[in-house]
Amino acid sequence: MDIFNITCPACGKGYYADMLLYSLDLELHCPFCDVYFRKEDSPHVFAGGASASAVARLAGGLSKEMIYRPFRKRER
Amino acid sequence: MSRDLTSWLDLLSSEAPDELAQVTREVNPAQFESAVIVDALEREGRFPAVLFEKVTDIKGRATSCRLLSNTFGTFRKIGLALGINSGERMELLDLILRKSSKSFAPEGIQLNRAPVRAFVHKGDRVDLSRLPLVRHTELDGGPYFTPVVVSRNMQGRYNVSWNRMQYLDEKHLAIYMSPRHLWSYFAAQEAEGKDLPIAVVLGHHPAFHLSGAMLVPLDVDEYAATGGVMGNALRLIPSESWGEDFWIPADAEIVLEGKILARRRCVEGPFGEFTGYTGPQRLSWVVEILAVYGRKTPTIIDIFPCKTEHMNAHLPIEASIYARAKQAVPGIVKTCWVGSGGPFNLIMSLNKKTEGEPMRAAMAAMSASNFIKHVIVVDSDVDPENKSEVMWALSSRIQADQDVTILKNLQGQVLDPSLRHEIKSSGMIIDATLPLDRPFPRRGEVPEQIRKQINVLEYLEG
Repeated sequence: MDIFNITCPACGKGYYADMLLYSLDLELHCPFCDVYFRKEDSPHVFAGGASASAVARLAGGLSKEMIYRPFRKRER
Repeated sequence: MSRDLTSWLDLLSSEAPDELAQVTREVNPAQFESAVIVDALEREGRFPAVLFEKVTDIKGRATSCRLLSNTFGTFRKIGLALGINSGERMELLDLILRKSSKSFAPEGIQLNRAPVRAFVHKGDRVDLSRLPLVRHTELDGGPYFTPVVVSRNMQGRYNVSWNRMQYLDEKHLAIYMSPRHLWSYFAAQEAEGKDLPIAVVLGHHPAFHLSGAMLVPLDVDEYAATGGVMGNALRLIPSESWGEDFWIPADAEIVLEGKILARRRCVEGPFGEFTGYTGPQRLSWVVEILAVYGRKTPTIIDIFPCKTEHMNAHLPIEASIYARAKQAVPGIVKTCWVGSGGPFNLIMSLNKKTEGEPMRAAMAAMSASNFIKHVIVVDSDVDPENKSEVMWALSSRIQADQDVTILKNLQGQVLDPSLRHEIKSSGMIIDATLPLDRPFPRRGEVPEQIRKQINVLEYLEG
């Protein structure tokens, strides 16, 4: 099965889980510190997939600020 | 005579004392201490059963329990569990097949004669945190039991299976079920909105645990089949919660009585598995424990899932695979799945009589179990247990474009880490046998007749 890597927001340690859990509305369980947390609170989630090996990929992943938004003059 | 874990430990001490190590110092299994000992022994190439005399519960408190690891670390110990003092693979496979074909109907006994009822805790007195659960690998999602789970379907057939169970809280465990009998029993109950009663057996005679790995036809009751493997009728008592509607093993060390809850799920794992990998955290099922029974000083059997003993304990599955392949092609000489170097690789040797037999034998083996993904078939001059010989045959007897067959869309093993889909797999058959329809070079050997005539020692002396 496909899996995703995730980092616990409480202890900062990483592990992995079934992709099914990625799509469900539930709390994940950290095997290191026993904390239950939501993936949205994780500082790092890596799901892989075809895009993970894209030639334009960035080490460490992309954040919102890294995405360039084109500046366009308002057309009249 | 009833057979229990104590009787087997006594037998092991007398027949094979080198196969048993005892640790008298207190260990905390939930903090990896027992796993580290077994791991260290395996790294040294040693596989004794390890009896931890003093173990703590998951909160580090002393318990009255003992913990037995590496019960199945060698084939010899499996032989002793089955009643023979031998660790030879094919002898064990034949014995397992003979025993599993002779069922013994289980025998009900009175509650007061059941060793497992030295104590009975129910309701508020159930506290799983008082038991020694084990962490084995660094990513394990929590402390685990590696027990045998007994279940019963709507038609009254009992099933005996291995299932990993993670501690959740004082009264709940997570259970992971592969899509086999237990899973189908639960699915049928859940479809009607009902929970499934189960008994979690934390220790019994090793033959009982081996029965959990047998591929038993659905028309055979697994309590009866287990009696066959143990060599006597299994002694049972009615359960606390369901009376005579659900029977539990009387000679077990500890039994947790509970139910898999309908319409409840939890996150479970990661968990180090027989594949040698730590599998991911998954969606699993929830068990509520209703009662705990046990002996005065019970011994819990723990299986280290990533280590040799876990694959060894699958030997009954190899017996079924061997039987299925031999039924298809009688010339099968030997199989090697357990110890083949990979959890999904099967190597078989045969006395080939016609072309096509290797493929037929391989497909029969694959159909016997979804544990088998790759099959290598060799001639009987190659020992499937000798990996150098197998690799020699692979390199010198096949042409990949002709002798390798790829199969698609098989039902795979859900714990196979290479699967992208949850269960759909591909398979591979390699026919590394010599062709019968064209000449092929012979092995390079000195003449056998002259080898027999010459006493080598006479030449080498002095």
